[in-house]
Amino acid sequence: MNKVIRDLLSRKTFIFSIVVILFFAAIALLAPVLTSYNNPYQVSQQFVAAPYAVPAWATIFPQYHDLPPDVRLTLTPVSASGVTPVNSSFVKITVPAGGEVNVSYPIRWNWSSPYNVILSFILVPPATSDFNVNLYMNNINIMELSPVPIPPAVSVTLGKPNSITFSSQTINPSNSPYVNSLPFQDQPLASLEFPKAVLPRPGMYYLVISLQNTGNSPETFLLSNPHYTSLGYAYGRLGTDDNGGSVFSEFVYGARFDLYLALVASVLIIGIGLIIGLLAGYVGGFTDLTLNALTDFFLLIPGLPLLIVLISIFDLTGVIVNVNKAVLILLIISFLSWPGTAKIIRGQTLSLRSRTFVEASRALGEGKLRILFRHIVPNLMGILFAQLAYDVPGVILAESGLDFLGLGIIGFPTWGNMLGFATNDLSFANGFAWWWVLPPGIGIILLSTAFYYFGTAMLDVLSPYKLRGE
Amino acid sequence: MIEGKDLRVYFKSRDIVVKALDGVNVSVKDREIVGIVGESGSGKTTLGRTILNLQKPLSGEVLWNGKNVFKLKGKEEKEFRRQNQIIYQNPYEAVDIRLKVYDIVAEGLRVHNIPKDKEEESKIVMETLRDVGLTPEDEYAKSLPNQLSGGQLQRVAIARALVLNPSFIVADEPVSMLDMSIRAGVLDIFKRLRDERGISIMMITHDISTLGYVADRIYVMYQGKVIEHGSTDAVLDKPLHPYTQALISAVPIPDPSGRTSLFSIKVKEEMEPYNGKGCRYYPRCPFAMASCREKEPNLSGVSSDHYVACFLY
Amino acid sequence: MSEVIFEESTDTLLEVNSLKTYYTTKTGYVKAVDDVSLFLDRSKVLGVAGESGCGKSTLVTTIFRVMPRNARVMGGEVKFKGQDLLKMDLKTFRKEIVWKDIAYIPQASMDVLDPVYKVKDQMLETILAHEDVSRAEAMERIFRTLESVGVPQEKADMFPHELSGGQRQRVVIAMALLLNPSMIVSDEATTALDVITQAKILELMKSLQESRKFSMMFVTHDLSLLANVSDSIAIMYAGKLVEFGDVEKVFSNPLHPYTQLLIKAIPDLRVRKQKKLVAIPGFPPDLENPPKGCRFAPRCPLAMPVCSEKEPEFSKVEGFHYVACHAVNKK
Ligand SMILES: Nc1ncnc2c1ncn2[C@@H]1O[C@H](COP(=O)(O)OP(=O)(O)OP(=O)(O)O)[C@@H](O)[C@H]1O
Ligand SMILES: Nc1ncnc2c1ncn2[C@@H]1O[C@H](COP(=O)(O)OP(=O)(O)OP(=O)(O)O)[C@@H](O)[C@H]1O
Ligand code: SF4
Ligand code: SF4
Ligand SMILES: [Mg+2]
Ligand SMILES: [Mg+2]
Repeated sequence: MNKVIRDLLSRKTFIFSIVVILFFAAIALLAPVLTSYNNPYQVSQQFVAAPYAVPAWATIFPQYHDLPPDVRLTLTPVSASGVTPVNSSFVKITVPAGGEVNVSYPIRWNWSSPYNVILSFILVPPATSDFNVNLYMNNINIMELSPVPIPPAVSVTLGKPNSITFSSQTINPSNSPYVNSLPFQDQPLASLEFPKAVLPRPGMYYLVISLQNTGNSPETFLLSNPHYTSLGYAYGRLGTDDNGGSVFSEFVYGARFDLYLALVASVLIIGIGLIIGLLAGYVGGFTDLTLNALTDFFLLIPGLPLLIVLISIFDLTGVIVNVNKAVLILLIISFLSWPGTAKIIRGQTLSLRSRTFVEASRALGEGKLRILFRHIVPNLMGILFAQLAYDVPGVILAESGLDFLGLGIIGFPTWGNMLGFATNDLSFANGFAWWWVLPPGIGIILLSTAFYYFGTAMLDVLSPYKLRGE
Repeated sequence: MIEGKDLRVYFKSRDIVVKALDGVNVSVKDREIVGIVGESGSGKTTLGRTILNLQKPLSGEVLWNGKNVFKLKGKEEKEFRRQNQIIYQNPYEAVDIRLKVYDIVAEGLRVHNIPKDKEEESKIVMETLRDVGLTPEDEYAKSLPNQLSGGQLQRVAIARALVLNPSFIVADEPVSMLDMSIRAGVLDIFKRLRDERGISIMMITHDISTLGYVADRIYVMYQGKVIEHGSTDAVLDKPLHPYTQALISAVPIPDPSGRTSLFSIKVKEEMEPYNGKGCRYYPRCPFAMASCREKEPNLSGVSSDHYVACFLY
Repeated sequence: MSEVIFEESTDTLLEVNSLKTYYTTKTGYVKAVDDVSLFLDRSKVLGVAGESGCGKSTLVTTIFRVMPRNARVMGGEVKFKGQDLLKMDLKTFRKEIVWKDIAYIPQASMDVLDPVYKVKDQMLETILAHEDVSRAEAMERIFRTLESVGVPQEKADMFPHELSGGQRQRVVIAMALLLNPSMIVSDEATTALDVITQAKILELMKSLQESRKFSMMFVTHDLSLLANVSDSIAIMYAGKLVEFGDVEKVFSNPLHPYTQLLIKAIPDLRVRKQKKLVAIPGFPPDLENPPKGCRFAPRCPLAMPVCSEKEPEFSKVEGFHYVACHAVNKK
């Protein structure tokens, strides 16, 4: 046994395959730890950053270097007269009658414009209705709060805490003076333009909350320190897809699925293929005839087309409602993968059975079962692993192909459907979203080659009939 | 002790029937080395396999101490397997080359539950390895077959047969894979087995010269038939059948002064196919007569220990 | 130092001088041919013998330049008609020398024939690749050559698998003869055949050699064959040449202990009653780490302390008879 392991470890291809498989297995196992999004195809898990955000580390490249990350800030005011802190997060502002106090919040912005801008804070206005609150960013009036809701002003409740949220994605002519100030034909694009208007380039910017008292007596306002958030164009380890879903999470959960698929396929190939092949080859006669016919039947089914038809039928007839489609696909594909193995094992068993050393065992008085388990099965191990080497990548590729075409799994990420979605959107302005296309592509290639190398290395080491020389 | 009677084994490959054994009678007595010699394809291996019930014959029986081996069941069959062993022509094919030498040799012991425990097993295996000259035996026990030369592996195959303490061994070309220099050593093992342990051996070979050194009796086979048999001295010193004569004269003699001898063998180029009824050798026989084409000669005794199937006698 | 042997040559055709061919392996070099010198005169037969694995095939494949890919020539030269074959451009060598001047009958040569071509097509190709002759002329020559090796003409139309082993071997010999080479190298040409077929093929080769006057290098592990066909004989042991000389001299007076044992190990029907077969104890050494000094020392019955210290020199005994052994050279 030790020799086998030593022999294996001396092969670069084997080391490569083990490293790759272990790497993906680790990723798959640790998926919940590595990422908090378990299915970025769900709406609730999208928009973790701007769509097509590049990976955070890609900002080392010059063309990406000033892309902003996701930014979350709590803004604190510059001290000014009439502005007194109540506690760490609230300030009290006293505005003299007929006067106006501007509270300025500096924002140090080091990047190009973000995807969006969200501001939220709590405002407790005075109980009288003689006031007006305006928000400015980069000297642009972005929001107006007023007790009298004449658009674009937004109403506030008097004397009570109001939770105010400004989001650049929901602005329209009736809730933002900014939109109103735009020419009519540009108004629909206001959400897109807004970040460029208020945070056009790196620099020092100010959010100014201007409190106006139109009454005759001084009034006090309570204002919480505003939270600033914006989604960036550089995100995480692998950026985002077209919905701002984390590509890394997709990749990790995709690995989980593809490994699972490989595992199930392997088990079926070994289980069904080996047993049927062994039975047919070793028992022979009628058993062989029947099993061989069965194998041929499955072998002759054109796998992928059948799968596509089957799945369309299931889809259309709604059978899938009760059965998980993913499980179904996984089972069908794996199930179509064993006949090749059965055939080859049968052939090998037949040839082994007539080998002299098997006859020699018979001459020693060994029984049929003993010969089977002691001489035939161990001599088949190499071939069996070779079958894994050829068939498991086949299964992975077939399933990925199906997903790629959109006929397979779409509900959760797999490497196949990632590739499919990614290439679907290639024409979009973003062009080649390499951080989205490459990981699943490389993943499929690496895992397939890893299985191939693993199988061939095992074949080499386990198969007893080695050739001399190099 | 073991006797094959009128054995017939035909192989059908597609439409052609190969008569590998066509009415062969052989017997091997106690403490005797019997040589079976003949050209390639003459049915020697098939004979050995049939004698050991590894190949069912079309007809005929093999008697082992009076019992028909094809009818043995259960315990008796197991005992037959233990007492009768075979050493195959090509040792590389005959061992499961995944197994270590130790396991190859121990296999038979385990099948027959001979040793009481591991210790005893190891003792028997090691002793046997030493017996066949594989020393240091614990080194060899650990090796895998592909680390051994043909000669060493052939000894492993011999050890595997010996470990069960058999009374009869079929040795199929046990030395053809080996160099001359190692051959003698292996042949010596067989002689010692006969002399010291009283084992009977059927030694199959196409090289008649080695038989001269070890065999007590020789059977000469030609195309599935025994055409001559008798004591070694009789057959080698006074070969009767034209085929046996050719066989002996074709053995190269290691002496440059007698150069011409090798090239004086009397065999005709096979000019016509066998007609199906005459002597099988007539297409190549330089002495063929008209009668040879009509009828097959039967084995008949020219002396008490020499039989030949040829119309010349 | 071993150049002395070339003095014995009268009409040199082939001269192998201090040839070293090693195989590279993961763990080092297998010194399969280590400093071997020998020669072959015109229209003579040189026999090369030795145990399996002593480097016979390596020697031959080096001369014919068809060594396995991991083989390296580490030194020495192979002079054929005065020209160093190893220094020749491989293409020129293949075109000008191979088959035309030197023909090669490889070990396991029955498998050399391509199973998918008819015998005559393979032979035709060999001729047309080297000579500028018409097809009809070539066919004529093929039939003549097949006949001369005793293969009926109609077999030319058959596929190799339709021939018997002996016939296939004859076809390969016929291929070697096709272009009238001045030297034929035969590596265990008859080992796989039964004695009767072997005898007939040897007889054939010998008579062809005598009538066509080509030289032959005949490699085998069966010394007794060489007694019957060769004029000179070279005994190899573990990659080294240990004895080289006239065939009569070597057989009547073997000097190297290895040769002596080898001859004693040949079963000889004439003397089977007096003679006991002798086995050489032990096994050939590992050619990756050959023993120091004389490579035969671990198995040699005459080994002396000096044997495992110093390599014996290859030196003349008397006439055309050379040997590398301390026990002999001392005298
Ligand atoms: N299992 C088999 N199936 C079909 N034909 C067989 C089988 N075994 C042997 N034969 C044929 O039977 C004949 C005798 O074969 P056998 O192996 O007994 O010859 P042999 O004398 O041992 O020859 P060799 O010296 O080459 O080993 C041959 O023609 C061979 O082709
Ligand atoms: N391709 C190779 N790589 C490594 N070692 C090799 C290779 N071919 C041969 N050898 C080793 O080189 C030595 C000489 O081999 P070679 O084939 O020349 O022997 P040989 O004398 O022709 O033997 P045989 O009589 O068995 O044909 C042997 O020890 C062999 O194991
Ligand atoms: S019977 Fe006739 S053909 Fe057969 S061997 Fe005797 S003489 Fe030759
Ligand atoms: S040199 Fe020494 S060891 Fe070598 S063959 Fe001569 S006597 Fe034997
Ligand atoms: Mg045989
Ligand atoms: Mg060789």
